[in-house]
Amino acid sequence: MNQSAHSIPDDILDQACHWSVVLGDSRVSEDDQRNFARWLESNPLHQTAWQRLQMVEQELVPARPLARQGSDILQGLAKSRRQRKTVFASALSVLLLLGIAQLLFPYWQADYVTGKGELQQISLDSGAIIYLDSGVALDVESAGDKTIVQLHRGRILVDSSAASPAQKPQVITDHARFTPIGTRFVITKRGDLSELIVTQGQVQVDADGNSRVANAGDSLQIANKTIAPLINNGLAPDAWVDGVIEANNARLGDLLDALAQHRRGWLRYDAKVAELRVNGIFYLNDTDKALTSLSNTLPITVETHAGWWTNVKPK
Amino acid sequence: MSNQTSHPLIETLYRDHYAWLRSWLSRRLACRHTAGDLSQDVFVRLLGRGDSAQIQDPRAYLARVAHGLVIDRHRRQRVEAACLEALASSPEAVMISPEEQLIMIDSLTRIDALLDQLKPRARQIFLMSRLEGMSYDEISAQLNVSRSTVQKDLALALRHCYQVLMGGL
Repeated sequence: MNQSAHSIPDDILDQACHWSVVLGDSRVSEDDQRNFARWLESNPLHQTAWQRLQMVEQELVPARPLARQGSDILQGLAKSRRQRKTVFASALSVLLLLGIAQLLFPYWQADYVTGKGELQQISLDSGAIIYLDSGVALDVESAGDKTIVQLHRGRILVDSSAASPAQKPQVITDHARFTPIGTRFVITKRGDLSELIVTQGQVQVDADGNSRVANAGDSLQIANKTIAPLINNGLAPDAWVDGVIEANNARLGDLLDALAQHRRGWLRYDAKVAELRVNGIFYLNDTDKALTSLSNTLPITVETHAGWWTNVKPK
Repeated sequence: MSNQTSHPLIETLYRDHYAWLRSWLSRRLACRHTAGDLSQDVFVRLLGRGDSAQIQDPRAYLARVAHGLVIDRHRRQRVEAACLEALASSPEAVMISPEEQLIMIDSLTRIDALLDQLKPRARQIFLMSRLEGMSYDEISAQLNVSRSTVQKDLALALRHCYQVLMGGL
């Protein structure tokens, strides 16, 4: 029988701990040893509990040669943790208030923020233009001639063709630093990764020790300090600048995700329809119309409730 | 393949316990995706060990391997820094090899994670007894507490470690 199917009841675990303490005593008696043996044999669960507790105690074995020194290190760590906690508690009330604001409006302090369905353009002094897709948060800093764009969230297109090489804006995300050598590129920061798509010219990517130059037509994704190719999802990377989504044999799921970025409320879809393939041009300022035209050409049903909840299901 | 004999066993382990391990890990990690990745890692480690034929209590064994993987990076860094500082300040210990250093850091990190949240006195008594090898009489004399307090705290600490390492089993 598979012993691990059993969980150990609390009272048996207590007994196992008790015996471990008794047997670890330098003054353990023969009576104790006999009683322990009897306890162990009286129930298979006792044996399982005992074996597991031995596994716990084995955790200490590799450190035993360190003896006093190991103990001092561990006690020192616990002590500094407790001290940090005290300092932390007093700073906590202030941080808590800021934290709540941060949770509700994660980038409330960013220089530029776009809401759902909103597109924006920033013209920099150098002549470079930055296009912000819906749902972007970024900061712009100037350091001498250089402009640095810190992208916190969302997708931007940088067109630096009008800026001189020394003044082309650098873009920084949590994952990498992007230095334009040429002109036009799209950078997306979402969750744990950043994506780069170069449409014209070249961009130098530095991701914490790894770097490479991306050429026009290259798509890369950067996560965990590694730079990897990004598979094209069939949606034109820069069409949103013109207010449209251009799909070329794209997954319906990817198209719906893109529409959801620009649509008020929730847009969900059944996994069964996600793999359908789509072609066409869809206007971002009228996502209702885009959904209607999709439901006319594909085997899907679009249900909208109260203008906020949209569900796309198989027909 | 080099250890063909252990692969069917690992397959059985995987089939019988993968879902359990994943839910065990996700309770500790609060992230289902990481839990899935780590569950895979646990089995990858098993493949590298080749001693799986001796596993009697698979879930306890898996939980123990997984414990090492859920320890966060910061804890390890702090233990590492404390170890290096201790080494630097004690001339007789400077002789230990890099491998020994690594084992020391690993093992102390695991113990530190195991004892987290345990009340200070129980923590100290547990370390004096199980790491330093002091007798209950010695501990009771040094800390100026009764022998039965030493035993009670020790049982509490064992129970705590069990919960951390095998809790929910």
